[in-house]
Amino acid sequence: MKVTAAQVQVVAQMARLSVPADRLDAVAAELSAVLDAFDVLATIPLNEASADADAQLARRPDEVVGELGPDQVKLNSQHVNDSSFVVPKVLE
Amino acid sequence: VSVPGTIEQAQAALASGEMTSESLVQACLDRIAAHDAEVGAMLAVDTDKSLAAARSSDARRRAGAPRSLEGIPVVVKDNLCTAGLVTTAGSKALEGFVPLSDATAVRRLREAGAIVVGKTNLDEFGMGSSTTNSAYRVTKNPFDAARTAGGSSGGSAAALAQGFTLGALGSDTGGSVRQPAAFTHTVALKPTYGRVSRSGLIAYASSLDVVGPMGRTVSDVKRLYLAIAGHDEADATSDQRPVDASEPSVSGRTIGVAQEWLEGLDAPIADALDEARATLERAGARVVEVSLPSSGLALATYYVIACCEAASNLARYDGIRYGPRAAANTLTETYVRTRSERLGPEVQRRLLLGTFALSAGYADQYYRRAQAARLRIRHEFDEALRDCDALLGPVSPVGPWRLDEPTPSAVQSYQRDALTVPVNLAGLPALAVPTGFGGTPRLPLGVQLVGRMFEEATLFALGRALEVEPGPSLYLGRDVLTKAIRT
Repeated sequence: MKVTAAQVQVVAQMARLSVPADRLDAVAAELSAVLDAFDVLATIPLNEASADADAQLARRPDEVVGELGPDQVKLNSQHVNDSSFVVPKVLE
Repeated sequence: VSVPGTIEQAQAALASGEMTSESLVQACLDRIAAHDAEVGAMLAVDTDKSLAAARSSDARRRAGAPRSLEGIPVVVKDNLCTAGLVTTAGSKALEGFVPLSDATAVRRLREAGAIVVGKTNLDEFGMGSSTTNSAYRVTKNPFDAARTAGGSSGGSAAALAQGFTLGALGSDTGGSVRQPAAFTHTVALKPTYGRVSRSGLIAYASSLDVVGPMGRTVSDVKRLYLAIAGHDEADATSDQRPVDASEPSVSGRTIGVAQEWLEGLDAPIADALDEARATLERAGARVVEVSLPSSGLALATYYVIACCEAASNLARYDGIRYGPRAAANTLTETYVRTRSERLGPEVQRRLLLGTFALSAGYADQYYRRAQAARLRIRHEFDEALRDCDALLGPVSPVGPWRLDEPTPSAVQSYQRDALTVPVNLAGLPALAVPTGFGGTPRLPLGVQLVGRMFEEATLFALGRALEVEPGPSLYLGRDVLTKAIRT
């Protein structure tokens, strides 16, 4: 699987990461090499993929247990005010 | 007071009054102060609180109410939350993060009387097998400081081998307690998925992550395991079955050796495996050949699934709720700059791989096929374990490598995990047991036993049969120990 520098840029954007322009080709080559090693999975027919295997792991309903209060949630943030996390303006 | 070799020895000394928990914890703190600059095992040392807890423990013992791990010092991998004690997961993204509560496994250790002395180094978020991917320091092997202690729980393993503690917690997503144990002549259990709560374990790959106990002997690891195992409502994948504390017999057991795991092993590791096989036969077990034909798919399957899950789990590290934040003018720029500055290169590589493998047009090719391969691998283990009580195999195809070796490519680095990741994909329990020293120079060797789901008790029995007789000097600490194995 050959990954291009342009694809790296798109994937980095999705992952909310920044790859410097002078590293794009090197990162593309690294990812290509790893994805080549993943090609062994092409021998698995897609129709062998059943329902999500992870679904077998859940043993109780996915429900919130023991919620934290707002003050506790904010304790490890360095940018908070009385009621919220403070972030740069989203809308002008 | 010197640090005893094992929890068992320490418990006897505490019970007889030969030592107090305070003196024992102080002895561990002294060893950390004397040796950690060289080894690099610790990320935080909780001196005042651990000594205060030791004094409380001594009072409890005097009152006649000791618990199962009363007064025993332990260390905890730094991806397990500890209330009031900084927890970084080896990442600058969590620099200064102080959890509000203990991980369930940590809480249960404390409830059993154990004393948390400090937090140990790891590859960032558990992503690596050398403890060189930590954002803070490199952990070195106590038996040869020029070599890796393994990873990602290398800090916990090195702390045990160096005599900083009597027990440790690690985590194992693809071999992260077993491989460092094999590299440092310590014992580690990867429990069955769902047996030990993951609540408070900082997630890397949620369907693979497990918390694992580590110690110097199989009996010590069993003690720690019995303290932390069992159902926990806070973990949606926690199993409700009772924990088996029995002591089954080794005689009459059937042990399988997968032929696919024997290819490309370093000679000392192959020899150690042969020796382990002979030891089990002498103990009355029958050793047979089995096949796991899809072993060649395991590495790709593991890395696709682990990277995809990491891409989701690590999305939360954006500088808003935890850790320092990069200066930026917009919200998106805040996320991107913070993550790019705070996450290390190996973590970023895995996030890019996971995001790519989940992206439109590629999810079928990678993620769905990996899930199918995972089921196939699980079924093959089930088949092999239908006729066998456990499987015996190597932990790693290579021994602890030199830290000054040229940096391998990502693929070469991942290939070192080929013998541990299949067990995580199948969710099975596995115990890494030291088998002595070998090769040139002489370095620790170990093997792993893989059991049926929730049959950890069988692994402990088999592990005890394999355990090398320590002899009088083995647990006297690294200085004596290293001298002993070199002569």
